Amino acid sequence: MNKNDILAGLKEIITPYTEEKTALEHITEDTDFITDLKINSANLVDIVLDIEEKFDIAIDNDSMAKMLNVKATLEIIAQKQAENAG
Amino acid sequence: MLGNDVVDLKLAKIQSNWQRKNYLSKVFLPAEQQFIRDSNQPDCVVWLMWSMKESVYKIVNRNTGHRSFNPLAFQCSFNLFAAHAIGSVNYSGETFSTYSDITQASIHTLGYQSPASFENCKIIQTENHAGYASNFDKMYPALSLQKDKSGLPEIYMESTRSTHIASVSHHGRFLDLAYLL
Repeated sequence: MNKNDILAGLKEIITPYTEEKTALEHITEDTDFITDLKINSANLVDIVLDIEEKFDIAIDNDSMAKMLNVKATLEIIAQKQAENAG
Repeated sequence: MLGNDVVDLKLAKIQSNWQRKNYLSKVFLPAEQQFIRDSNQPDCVVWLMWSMKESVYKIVNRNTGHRSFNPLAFQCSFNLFAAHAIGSVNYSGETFSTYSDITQASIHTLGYQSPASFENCKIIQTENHAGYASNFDKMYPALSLQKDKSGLPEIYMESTRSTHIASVSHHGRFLDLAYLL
């Protein structure tokens, strides 16, 4: 999966958890889940669980701690997928 | 230092399904999950501990400037009474005190770190809506809600011409402001 595919998948996951439709439409690596998309922190847990299901990966606690923005999240998904493949 | 967090229980019911598979294990330590299982009001215990963790995260975040999403690093213990809870949260070897107000509609937790004490923290709960800062200033003319150089909330007190560290939390219908006297 390339980065654009992962980003498209991530955008689909995030959609039900944000009211900030303009920020979502213009999502980039720099988009922050809390400050830009105003996602409730309780829903960050849902996003992590959705990512685990969709990408068939397990996200450990240290990785989850970093998942506050798109950039860190894309890196963690790619890293976990690589670990699965290896 | 202080930090606060409010949960609108009606909105939480719609927004979050903590009974979802694997949800609790991402947020709560085994002992905390046991508190939830043992309780006859599990919803209340879930959001009580959530707000305890959030309020102390805000203290740590303000002290260190470091952001993270690591609820398992905050370990809760508490005594739950009819309409409040007194608790403590351990983070990285340090213990923080918490006081939570519990109603049918909301749970609000104030977390504080020595030398701050419960007695020198003040809490104001109002309705949450856009433009709450100017609305707050109208409702409480003696106080002004503003932001410090780093964009963090503080209260300016007209009578003493002093500024006070503040924490603002809003969720659903509620806006809670806590500040240090």
